[in-house]
Amino acid sequence: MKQKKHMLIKDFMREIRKNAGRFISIFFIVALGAAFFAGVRSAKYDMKYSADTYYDQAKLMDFRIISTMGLTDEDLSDIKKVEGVSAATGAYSQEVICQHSDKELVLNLHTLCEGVNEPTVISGKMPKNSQECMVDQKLLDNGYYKIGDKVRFSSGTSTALSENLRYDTFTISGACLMPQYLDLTRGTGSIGDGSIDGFAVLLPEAFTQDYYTEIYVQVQDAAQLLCFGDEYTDKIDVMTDRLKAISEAACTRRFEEFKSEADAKLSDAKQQVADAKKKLADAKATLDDGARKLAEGRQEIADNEKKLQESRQKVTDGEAQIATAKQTLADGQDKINNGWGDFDSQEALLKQQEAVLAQNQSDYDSGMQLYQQKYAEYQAGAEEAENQLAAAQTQIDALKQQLADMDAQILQLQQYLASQGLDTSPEYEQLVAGREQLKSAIDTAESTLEAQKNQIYAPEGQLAQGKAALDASLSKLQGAKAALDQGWTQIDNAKGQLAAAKNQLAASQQEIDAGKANLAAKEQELADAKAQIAEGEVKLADAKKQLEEKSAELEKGQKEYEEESVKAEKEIADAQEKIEDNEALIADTKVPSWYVLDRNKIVSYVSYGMDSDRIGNIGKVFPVIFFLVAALVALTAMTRMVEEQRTSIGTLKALGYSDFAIALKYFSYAMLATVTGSILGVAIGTVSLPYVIITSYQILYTGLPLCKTPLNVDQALLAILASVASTGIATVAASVHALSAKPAELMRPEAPKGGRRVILERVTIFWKHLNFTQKSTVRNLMRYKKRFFMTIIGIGGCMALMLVGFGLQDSITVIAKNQYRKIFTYDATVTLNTDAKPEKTSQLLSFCDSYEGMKSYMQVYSKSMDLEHDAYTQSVTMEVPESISDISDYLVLKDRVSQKNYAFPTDGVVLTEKAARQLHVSVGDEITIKEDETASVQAKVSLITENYVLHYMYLTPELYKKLYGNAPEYNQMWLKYHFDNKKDETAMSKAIMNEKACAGISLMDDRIEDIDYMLEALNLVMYVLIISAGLLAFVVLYNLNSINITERKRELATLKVLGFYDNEVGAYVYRENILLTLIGIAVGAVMGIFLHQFVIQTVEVAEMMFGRQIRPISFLYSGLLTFAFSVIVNFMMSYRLKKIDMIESLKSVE
Amino acid sequence: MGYVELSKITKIYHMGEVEISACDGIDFSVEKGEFVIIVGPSGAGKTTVLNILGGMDTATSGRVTVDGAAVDEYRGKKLIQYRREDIGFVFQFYNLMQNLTALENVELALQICREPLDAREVLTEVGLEERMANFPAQLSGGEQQRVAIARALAKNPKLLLCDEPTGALDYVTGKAILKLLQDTCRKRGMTVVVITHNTALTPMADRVIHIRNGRVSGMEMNDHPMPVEDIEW
Repeated sequence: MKQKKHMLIKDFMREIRKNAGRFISIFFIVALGAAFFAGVRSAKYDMKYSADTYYDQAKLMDFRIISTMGLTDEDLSDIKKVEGVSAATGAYSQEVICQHSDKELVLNLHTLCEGVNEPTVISGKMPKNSQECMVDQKLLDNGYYKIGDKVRFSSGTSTALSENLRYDTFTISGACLMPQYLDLTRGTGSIGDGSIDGFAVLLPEAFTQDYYTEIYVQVQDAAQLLCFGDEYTDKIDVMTDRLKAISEAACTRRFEEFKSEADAKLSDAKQQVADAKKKLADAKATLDDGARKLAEGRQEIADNEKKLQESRQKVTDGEAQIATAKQTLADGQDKINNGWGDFDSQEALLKQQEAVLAQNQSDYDSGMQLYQQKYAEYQAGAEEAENQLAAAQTQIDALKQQLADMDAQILQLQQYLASQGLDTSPEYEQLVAGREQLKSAIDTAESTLEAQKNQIYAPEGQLAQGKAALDASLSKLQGAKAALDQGWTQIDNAKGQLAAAKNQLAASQQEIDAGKANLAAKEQELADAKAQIAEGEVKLADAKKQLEEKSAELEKGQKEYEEESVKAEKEIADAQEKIEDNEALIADTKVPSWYVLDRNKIVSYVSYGMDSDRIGNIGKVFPVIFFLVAALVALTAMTRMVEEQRTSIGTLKALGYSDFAIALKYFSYAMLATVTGSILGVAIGTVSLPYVIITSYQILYTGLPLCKTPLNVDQALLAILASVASTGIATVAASVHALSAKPAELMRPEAPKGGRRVILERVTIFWKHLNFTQKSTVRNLMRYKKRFFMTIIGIGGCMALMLVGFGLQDSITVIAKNQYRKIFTYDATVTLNTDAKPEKTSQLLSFCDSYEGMKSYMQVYSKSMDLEHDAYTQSVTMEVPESISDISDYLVLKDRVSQKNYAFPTDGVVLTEKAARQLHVSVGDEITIKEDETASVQAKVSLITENYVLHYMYLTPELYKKLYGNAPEYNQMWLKYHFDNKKDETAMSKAIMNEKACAGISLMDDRIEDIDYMLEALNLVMYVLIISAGLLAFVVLYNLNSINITERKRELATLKVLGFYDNEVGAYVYRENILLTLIGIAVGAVMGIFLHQFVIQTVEVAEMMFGRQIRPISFLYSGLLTFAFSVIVNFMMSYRLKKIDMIESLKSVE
Repeated sequence: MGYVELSKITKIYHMGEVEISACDGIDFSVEKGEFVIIVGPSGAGKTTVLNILGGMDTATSGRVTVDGAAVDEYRGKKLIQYRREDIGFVFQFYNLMQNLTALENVELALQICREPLDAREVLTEVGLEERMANFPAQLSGGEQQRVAIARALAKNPKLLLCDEPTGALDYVTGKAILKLLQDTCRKRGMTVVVITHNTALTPMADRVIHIRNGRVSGMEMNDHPMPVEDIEW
């Protein structure tokens, strides 16, 4: 038992080693099939997963809530309270215009929020202050700006930018991506040319709006879910309902706020009108006042003139008075002068008398003096005598005192002596002697004194004689003095008289002088008055002039007032009307509504989702076919292996091995190859293919910064299981078939299948012309039907895959050129500035008329409309050309299939093909054309025309007028021109852009480029398909050929022995292969056409119709490629053919 | 110098490390128009000799001349040309093209010859005029071998080499085939070499060559070869 197992394992290992080629070919075909299957099918998930990862990293909002009236903090806190909301962030946004050299860029400003819609910084830094901004990386890529540049924004509307933004100039601090923008489109705006060129991110502080323009909401636990998936969608649907539920209350609140604000504003406006009215009235009052004052002024001037006249009279009178006064004064002066003459002579007389008197006086005075001298001498003598007397007396007194003292001492001594009983003593005696001496001295002195006194006071004494002389002179003197006093009194009287006269004279002179001074003053006064009069005259003239001016001014003012008041009244009326309108508007203003926008309203989110679904759709078809072909080859190889080994199977059976043990060998062989192959395939495929596809799409989705290719267990397991199942079942089936036979049967060579005549032989003419190898080929093909069909399917499948790949490229590349060369045969579109004055437009037209190289132009009215038919709606661009007489120069209307040209119908509209299909409209149907929610008209569809890009509806201006009642206002121009080179075209477009009436120009060549660029990614994916299909074709052909050769070794050996050259032997095989390849190519071409149709409709974008045709060259390419692979494989096979050993293979049938 | 001349033919097969000598110096010659039987036990090297003679294999050393041409010097295309123009081969298992009719199988050989015979004539000659339009699978073993012989003959070769032509046939059919070969030799003067392990057949040959252990162990000439009908085994 152990031995048996051992030998079987040994046999198994040898089998693999011996037939390494077969093993490897099964391994690779399975690997290829599994890789492609799992890879392409993973791509959809991986694309979505990559985007989801990025969205989660950048914390893309789940909802964006906007309101028709903005959102408040209260709204924000309400939203935060909604169950399931994990975060809500209020933000501002603002569309601005930014002039960049000759291009006007429209930017959308976003708020830099924390925790939501976080920008990914590509270069530079986040804005640090509210004067910095971070711009779209796209703007840097396009070369508009670089970091550090300053950008200046303007509002692009009549509203000042400062109402919404703190500053208008910002420094670019960096460039970034934002998760809302995966691709290069930035959406449409309401300013500029209507398309937004990029965004910029500002700090919230840079905005000054007093309400949020939007609130970003993030939903709890939503980030964990795949955002394109059903679970996420369900969650979002629930949240949408919840958010909508709170919107009504919030909107009402906001409405009330708005209303009170608006009412306040309205009353302000009313106040303003009232003020204006008052001002007008004031102006009128001022004017009237002015008129009155002017009249007064006139009166005043008249009065003043009169006064002036009076003054002049007074001056004349004054002058006369002054002359009289002067005469009187002169007379007075003369009298005074005479008076002075008398006075002088009198005075001289008096002076003579005075001098005499003065001599007398002087005599008297000297007499007097002498007397006084004598008297003084007498006096002095008297006095001396007196003094001598007094001094003597004093001496006497002092001696008397001494005597008294001696008396006292004597007494005292007496008493003492008495007390002593003595009567005398020496001392006493001395003392009484002393007293006696003294008493005698005193008495002498007193007698001397008396003598002296007598001498002096005796009448005949000297003294008395002197006194008498003196008294005589005095009386004489006193007589002179009386005469003198009389003289003096007389003189004094004369003097008094003279002084009185003098005083009188001086008084008169004073009077005269005063009169003179008075006169001078009067004269001065007069002169002043004269000057005043002159001045007054000048003033009056000035005043008159002023008055004239004032009156002219007043007149002008009145005129102005009349004019202005008319205007002002009109303005007031207008303002009032406006107020009324606004009142009506406020009354009409509906309660605002919220728009709860989920991610499906993000354009790039949706288009990316659609693109990945498109890859998913490709994944539904392509890999399955691919896989089936691969499985078929693996199956053939295994079947063949079992068949080849029937002898050894028989032997083993005969030896008594169980069927299971034998089958296990082949099954294990197949499994080993399949499982390892599919695991390798899956490992490579699920990483590389999604990587290639995602990186291809990143050309378009430049905003997606990462590419994730996780292992998708479901797709991987599916691929592995499908591989295992298909080869496993095939192997088991083949083994069972072989094992059901008896050992003896198996050991005998299998009865070769009999040759059979084929139907073709009936066509003898054809048959006869075939040589035998050719005949053999034909019969061979028919003989091995299984192999025939497998080969056909295999090669056909590869051919079909390649054809679809090329065909999709055809369908894609044809779009732009078909649309912008074959259908739109004009060369450029000019968008007219609808605000431009008519003369500017005609200026543009004449500019175009005269521009060299310009062939012709057509004015067109273009507008976006929604079409409705049954329950279907489709938005289209309505285009009304000015005239349809030469429309065929600009627009080709034709049937896509028959390529028959149509005339422009006048009775109805022309609809483009895909729009018609979306609306389920056919020619003759009525459609509803809606401009907005309210206005709609009905029209008949008269024609459906070929179209590839966007959807259009064409109609004649006459029909437009019939439908809408007015003629279309042309807002576009189609240009047709011819320039030898691109430079001239650019120069022309620049020149047109400079025209005032031109709002923009778009060249068809540029549009072709744009679209081609957009579809580039899909194109790259096609290359992946083509290369994979080519690889598959190669492997399939190699396997089938290899089987073919092994199967017919004997035949080939026989041919060799018969002397067929190598190339003849080869040809025998190749012919068959080539025939099979050719049939496969033919079958594949048919399969490819159908597959292409299917794929194109699943891959197609909504706004475009891809080409439906595969170009013949693509048939050629895919056919040639398949054929080339076939040739290469055949070439590789020739080596194996050479190696066929004639001898070995001829000996017996193995 | 014979019509066919082999001298000192050796053939060594290398099977990995092992060297197996199939021929160890074979010498013989055959005259034109002779019916030759090479006989020997299994593994004696007779098939190797036939293969070398038929240009299907080359000798390790020694010389092979056929009609004066040094076949041992032929390589590649020259060798194929030799097989194509000078050799007719009849196999044990017929080796007919299964999806060509009897006639077409013969014509297949003819289309590569310079001076072929008429296919129908040859087929009539081998007694298959009724079965010309049949596919091999519709023919019996003997009939298939006849087609094979016809295919070989129609090329009008210099040598007709037959490797155990009766090996897969029953006694009667085998005899008929041998008769056909003998008759062909006699009527057309074709040089025929037949390999067999059956020594009983030797009397019908003009020349009998015995091979044993890679060497010619003996050669004898029958001056009066017996008709096949007279031979029993």
